[in-house]
Amino acid sequence: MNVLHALPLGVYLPGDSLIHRLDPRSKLAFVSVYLVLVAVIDSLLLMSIYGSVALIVILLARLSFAYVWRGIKGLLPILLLLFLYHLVLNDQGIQALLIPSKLFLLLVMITSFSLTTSPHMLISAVARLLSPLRRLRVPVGDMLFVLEVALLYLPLLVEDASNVFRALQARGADFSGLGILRHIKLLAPLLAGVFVAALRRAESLAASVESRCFHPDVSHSGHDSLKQGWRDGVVYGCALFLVIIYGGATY
Amino acid sequence: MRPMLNYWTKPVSIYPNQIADAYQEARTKRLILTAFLGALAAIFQSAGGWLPGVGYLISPLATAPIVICAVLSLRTGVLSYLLAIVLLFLIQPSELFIFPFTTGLLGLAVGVALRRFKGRLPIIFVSGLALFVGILLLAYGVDFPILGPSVSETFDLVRTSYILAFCLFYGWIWMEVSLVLLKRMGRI
Repeated sequence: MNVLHALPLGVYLPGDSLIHRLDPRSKLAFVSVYLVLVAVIDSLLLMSIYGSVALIVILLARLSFAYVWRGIKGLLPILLLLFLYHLVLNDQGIQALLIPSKLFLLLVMITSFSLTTSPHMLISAVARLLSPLRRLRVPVGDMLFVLEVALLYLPLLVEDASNVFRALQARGADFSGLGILRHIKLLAPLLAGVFVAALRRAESLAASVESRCFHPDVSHSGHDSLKQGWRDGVVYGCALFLVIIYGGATY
Repeated sequence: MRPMLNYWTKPVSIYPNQIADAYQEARTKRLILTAFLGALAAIFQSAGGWLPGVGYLISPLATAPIVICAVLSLRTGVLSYLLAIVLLFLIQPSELFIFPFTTGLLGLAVGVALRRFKGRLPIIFVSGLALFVGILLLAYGVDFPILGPSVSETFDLVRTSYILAFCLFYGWIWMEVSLVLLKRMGRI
């Protein structure tokens, strides 16, 4: 089993679409407004309007529907269960459509955002958005350093986990059968092995960066590549328009 | 009777404090370990999505890395918890509803309680209560059907008591698992 190929690591899809070129801060603002509005709406008309917005975003980003689907399929059993429960047991046709659609649209928008925003741009956006918190002594530098290290080493940690998994299989561990207790007994060495590998990696990386005069309090990376343009203004306008549509339909 | 009484009244192992002290001065190492453990929490939590079958058994393990970070300090615990949420946002958005309210929150509570309290009872109580609050928030606040589609609609006291009992039991299991893990880490 190749775990590395199964994990949707680095879901970002490089591209040159309008959505790809947007500043991540404007995308974050739009997605946040969208998520809040979708969470509170309770009419099918508004749901279909916001559903169309998600579709437009996917088309503008020139995303393959198969990739979007990869981010959503994990929740499919729950969505189906919700739909059937409200339709068959509760006899509420509108709720049967509304509740799963809400979860579906939330995931579609989050997945579209992560597919069109590179981790580096995301870190830059987070750095800019969190920078005012430095004045309140929030450890923003630590947060960014931790995020950068995690994104850089995520594939290696998966490889470590994959190696421990393969070593267990080579020693006769069989994960295919049934029995929760048996699985727990098999997972305990997996957990311990992965932790030991992470600890050793942390030791060597810490020694390596400290030997190169790294200090956590000193700003060590540039996050200044962001620039907002007129397109980002349009995105903020669209977010405002979504709020106006909601207000107009509700009150 | 005496061993049973001892089990509940005797202080838990000294390993949580030992490990926290070992990492007190080494700030760079602590930050890197936080990054690695936060990433591991996200990998474990997302396993259900990319490894059908056995992945659902790996998902609950996401609590363990957060426990270790929270044992180091509350700050590193919160940092790894937030990091895992951001990483889940990137690699498996469908788990974003579950982790912050259940496995992640439980990990934070177990870790903090292991540092703060000495007896098993308060640790189990704090861990179970945190998980209970998280599940209620998810089911009734966010309306996410974590306990099945019907639970989010009606509040039932008997059912809620069962949930509390389950949370305390699950918190107890995780306290014991964490003590074994910390003992193992202390030996390295």
